[in-house]
Amino acid sequence: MFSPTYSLPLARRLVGRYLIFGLAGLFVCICLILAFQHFGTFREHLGFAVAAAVGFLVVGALVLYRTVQVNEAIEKQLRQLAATWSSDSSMLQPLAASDAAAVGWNAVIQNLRQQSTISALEARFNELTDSADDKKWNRIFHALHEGIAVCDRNGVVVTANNAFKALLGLTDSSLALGSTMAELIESAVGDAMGGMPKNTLVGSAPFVAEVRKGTHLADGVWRISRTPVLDEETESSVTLWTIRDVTQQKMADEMRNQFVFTATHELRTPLANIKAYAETLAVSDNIDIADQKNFYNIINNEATRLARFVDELLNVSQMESGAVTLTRGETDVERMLIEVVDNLKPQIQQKELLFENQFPAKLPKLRLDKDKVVAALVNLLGNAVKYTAIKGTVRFIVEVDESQIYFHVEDTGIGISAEELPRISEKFFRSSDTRVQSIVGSGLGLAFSQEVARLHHGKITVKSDLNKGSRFTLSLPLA
Amino acid sequence: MDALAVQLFASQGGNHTMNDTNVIRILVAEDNRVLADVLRFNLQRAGFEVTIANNGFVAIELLKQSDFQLLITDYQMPIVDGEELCKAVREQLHIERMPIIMCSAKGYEIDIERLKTHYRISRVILKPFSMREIVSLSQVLTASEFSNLSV
Repeated sequence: MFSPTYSLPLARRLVGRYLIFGLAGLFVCICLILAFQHFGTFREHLGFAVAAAVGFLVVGALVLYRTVQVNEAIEKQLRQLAATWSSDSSMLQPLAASDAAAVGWNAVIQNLRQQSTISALEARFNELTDSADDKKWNRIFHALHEGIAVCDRNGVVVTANNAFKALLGLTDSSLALGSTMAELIESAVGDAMGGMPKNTLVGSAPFVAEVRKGTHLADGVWRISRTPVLDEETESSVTLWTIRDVTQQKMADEMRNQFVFTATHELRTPLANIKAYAETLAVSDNIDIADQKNFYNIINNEATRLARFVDELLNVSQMESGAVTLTRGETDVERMLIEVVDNLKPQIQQKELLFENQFPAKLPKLRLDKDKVVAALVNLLGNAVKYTAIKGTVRFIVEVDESQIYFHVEDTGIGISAEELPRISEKFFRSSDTRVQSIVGSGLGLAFSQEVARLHHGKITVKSDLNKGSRFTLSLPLA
Repeated sequence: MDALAVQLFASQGGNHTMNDTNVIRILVAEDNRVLADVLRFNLQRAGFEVTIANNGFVAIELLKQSDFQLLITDYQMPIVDGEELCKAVREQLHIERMPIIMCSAKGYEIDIERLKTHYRISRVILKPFSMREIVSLSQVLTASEFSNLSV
């Protein structure tokens, strides 16, 4: 209706039009009144005159309205914007008009929309990069072996990683029930709480505790820790919990302790004897020569026992740690067997045992670590001699087939019970049979022999009947 | 019981007879024969009459048969161990006054204080120990036998 170049300000336009229509209406009224008075028909035509004046005013109002229509639309949007301020530019509508104000308004809106598109793109981009980071941390969180959970300040578990859920046997749905950490741990560990006071699980102070899941170590041991973390948003303290399964570590510790205790006992016994005899010899006067001689011999024997024990200990621990490699050499098996038997002759004679050898006529030459195999066989034969009563029988039988050589050691000794048979090659294991307890032994010999067999890719097998005797077989591959 | 009788006979040391009231009699319960022998040697030289039992069971049988003024026992023994022996001495045989010395190669596993108070053991000695120490301890304990002294 108005050309864009029509650029008088709104107030002047309003005043201009108001004056034009007002004056025109007034003029028409006056003219009509004068004309009617002139003809003397004023009273009859008064209604017409009023209608004409009102008509002018109505037309004027219409024109005024048209003038401010665009501005009104802009003002309305501005009011809305003021009432609910947000950066959302989609609330602003362009105007379907072509006057200067509308054109300017539309230009502003277009500008705003462009900017908001750019910032939306930026936000989207940030979101993408952020979520990639989040995903990475999330994966790390769930990949950790340590069970990790976060509790709110009431102790309710809000987040937990997979390891935590697995340790406590939880699913996502059971986690969503809003259980507290104290409840979860209590139900997993049992009411006794492994001896830990229950109220330690409540609160947010840092703590670390080890909890046993049962009476035995093997039932499981957890190391539980709690660390308070200040939440910046709520300024309240949430707690970070970690649970680590330390069962293996604890069992290894216990085995090491057992080892130390047994080793100490085994070291102290000969040491006690040596000290007792040495002191007796040093302090007492007038000990007769035979007794003196006897005492020196005892000291010597006990020292030998001590030395042997230390050697065995070193052998086994070195072999287990893999520090020992075999030094294999071409070995004449027949000579090796003679060496083994010679080694044990004194004990066999002392116990008046019936000793039988059964060797094949022709024995192969093998690549073995001769010293270690000799030691292993002396061990097996020595056990047979040790645990067989006076005048019993010990047999040493060697067999060869196409792939293996078998060294059988049979005795008519005290035998091993079925319950103890699986444990005999355990380090430091000694039978609880009182007959065994009265015989000196470190509980390391068989463990050592087993290691020797293993290193040669062979094995030791045992058959035994309690009170009848045992048969140990060392089998080694020929090649 | 035949075997036991033989054992009792064999381990009865010294030349003293049961009627000799001036001689202080010590029972040594020790399964390690080598150590038992040297204990006997030293205690006999100090004037005690020494009887050796190679486990707790034999020791209980010996205590039933005759009086001893001191018991020296090992902790770890087959059949009946040192703790069971002490329990039998105090609670079954009701031998209240005889002092007890316990020797042990296990230093860390046993609760020494509990043993001492529970069975009124005068002293727990860890192996290796000194012969001189055990002889002088025996002298002190048997001299003050009736004063119930804890050393």
